[in-house]
Amino acid sequence: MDNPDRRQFGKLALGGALGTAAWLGSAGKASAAVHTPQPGIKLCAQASAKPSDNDLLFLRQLGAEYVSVGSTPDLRTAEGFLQIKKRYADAGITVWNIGNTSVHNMPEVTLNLPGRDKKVEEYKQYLRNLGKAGIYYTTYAHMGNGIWSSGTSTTRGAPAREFDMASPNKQGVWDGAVFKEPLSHGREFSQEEIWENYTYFIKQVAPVAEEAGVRIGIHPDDPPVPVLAGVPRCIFANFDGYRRAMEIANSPNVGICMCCGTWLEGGRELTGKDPQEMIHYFGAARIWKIHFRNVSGPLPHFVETFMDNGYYDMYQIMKAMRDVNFDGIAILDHSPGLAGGGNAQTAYGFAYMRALLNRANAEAKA
Amino acid sequence: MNGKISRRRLIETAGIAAFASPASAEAVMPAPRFESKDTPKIALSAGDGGMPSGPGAGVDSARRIRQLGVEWVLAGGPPIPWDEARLKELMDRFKPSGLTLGNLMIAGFNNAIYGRPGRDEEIEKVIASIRAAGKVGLPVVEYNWYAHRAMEGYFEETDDVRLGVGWTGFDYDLVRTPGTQYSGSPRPEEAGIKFRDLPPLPNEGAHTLEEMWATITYFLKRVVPEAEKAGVRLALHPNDPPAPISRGSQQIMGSVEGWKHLIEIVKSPANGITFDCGVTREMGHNPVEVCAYFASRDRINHVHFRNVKVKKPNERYSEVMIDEGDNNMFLVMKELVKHKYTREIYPEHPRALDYDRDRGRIGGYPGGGAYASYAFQVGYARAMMQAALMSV
Repeated sequence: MDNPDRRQFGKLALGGALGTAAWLGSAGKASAAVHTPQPGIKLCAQASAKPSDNDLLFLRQLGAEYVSVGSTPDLRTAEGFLQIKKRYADAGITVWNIGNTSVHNMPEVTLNLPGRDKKVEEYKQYLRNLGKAGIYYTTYAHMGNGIWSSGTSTTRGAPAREFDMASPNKQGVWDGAVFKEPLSHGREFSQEEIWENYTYFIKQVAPVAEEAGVRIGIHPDDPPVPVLAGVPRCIFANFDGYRRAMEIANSPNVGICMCCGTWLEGGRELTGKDPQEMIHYFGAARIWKIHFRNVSGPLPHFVETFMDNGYYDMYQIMKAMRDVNFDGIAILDHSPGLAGGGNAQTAYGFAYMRALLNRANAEAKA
Repeated sequence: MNGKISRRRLIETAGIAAFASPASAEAVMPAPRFESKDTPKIALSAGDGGMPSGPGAGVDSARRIRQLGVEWVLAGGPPIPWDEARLKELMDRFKPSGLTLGNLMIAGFNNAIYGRPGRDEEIEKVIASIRAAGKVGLPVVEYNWYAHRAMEGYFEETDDVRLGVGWTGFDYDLVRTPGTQYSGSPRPEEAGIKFRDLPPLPNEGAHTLEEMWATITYFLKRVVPEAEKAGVRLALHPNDPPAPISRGSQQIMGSVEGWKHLIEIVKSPANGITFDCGVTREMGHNPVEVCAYFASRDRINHVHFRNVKVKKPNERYSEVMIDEGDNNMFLVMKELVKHKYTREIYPEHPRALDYDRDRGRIGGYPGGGAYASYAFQVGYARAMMQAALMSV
């Protein structure tokens, strides 16, 4: 390289910031149930709990100011969350959400299996840890038997997740567990059970979320097939289900993680409303996180696509977010894997979202 | 497929009363618009999928370009005169990857540019090349007309806000010192001299606008009619950087007036320009208005799509990330779509990201990036194009 001093600039800037970075967030005391974020749509990348310096540089150079991260088991404490948050804050990046796969989809909770109360307690502790660390949002999902795929197909020659109802290979996966037809848990469950189990769970955790100042956004069941392997996906797979679930929770801290990819997998006939209609209906008061992703077409068969070549115009989503003064995060969700690697994929997707946001903001001002 | 679960069946299983008739419900889902024969085409240079190391290093460039959704490419042409067989081989090389070659750069006629003996032979070679291009169906041939390209004014700048993103800076007052100048080694006798004061090079000389207009007029009067017959459009790239004086020479394509004059010399769609919205802004003009002028006359035969921050027109500016800068890229794209421009749009000059720097040497301009940065440029340009297609 012709100018090593210049090349080191970014890395030095990262290191230099360590000594001077403001310690963000008054950790510990959450007096208000709902933390009010800065106004405006925040574009957010998904990132590692233990980013390298190069990861941090890359995010900053793309213009990513927010990240949503998953946590490794060793970091699932208030101190661990603080550590993640500080690592990013020192690089000028805000951690919006720290996930925990152990308490995200919980079959024990969704299906009332042995160990349910232990999982509920684990979830409550997770909420308290988030609150202590000053992380004000988390995503929950009520899938009893994981996220389903039937294999890998290609989009533009890039490997992409596929789901086909007719495929004998379809299976659900979550946190190392695999779920298969005909019955993932030995019997058929009724819709009433799924509702009862949701109610049991949310009534217990909502007060803790309120006390901790953490908002819970509930992710739709992916894919939103009415029943998979004996488990109804009756709540978070259609508009009416979400509406009723929100009424049951009746909490300022329980809302929606609008995964547009999942929603498009369903299509309006199954879900009742398309993504922009969901955003317009529930608004910024109830939707706190948006997953940006597109698919080839609605069920019974779909392949994940890049944002630009699925069947839905993603700009309609960004525009709807602007219409309702959305002030949460829009994350770059998974996409087909580019041969140029994950960073090129992130660069492509992030730029696409940035262009949509720039246009939406410009039109709102016009 | 036997036993395939129909969508209707799924909906019945869900116990959902139909919200609307199925056909109409799907019909009103807002679908995106895609690139087609009637829209602009986002293009990359054939080598832009290059990646010396790291993930996917072994994958050929064409595959990486296609995965970004890019179906059109441009490239540098072979030495002149081009022959049909050679061009056909070039065109065919991209086809298996699903790429179409839409623009080749032609060069090798300096005598024509400087008005020196031998120009007629060069012009014959150019004409033969364009005829060959027409025969193999290459739609656009791009060329340059510089007395001297002002690259000694380039230097690498660093964007502090985005922690070290590389910008390509241009400064008319740049003093050539080792490590800062871009083009060649500093000549000892030029130490301490600003770019604006650099003397002409012996092999180039100093040329006035009048001389350069005379040489290009001579060229165009002979070449454009042949291009028209061959069904090929010529695209003259602007003088970039558009410095007022470049080593003693004036620049015919360093002003909008120059661009406008060019298309009057021979009135034909075959006599067009490469519309570069970055250079337009570097010259202090609004690219939307300039785009409208040339597009409404059907004289934009190629497009460069990039953004820039200008401190002083023609003299001091920085080529920046496509999502910031002085140009409203959406309005530029919208203008192109409005005028039904259907040829290539090249989101060129990606900015240096450390991710790319870490994968090996980056060629091109100081502060320039490689594949990951091209992915960013293409993602941004595509969203703008789809947005424009929905808006016009």
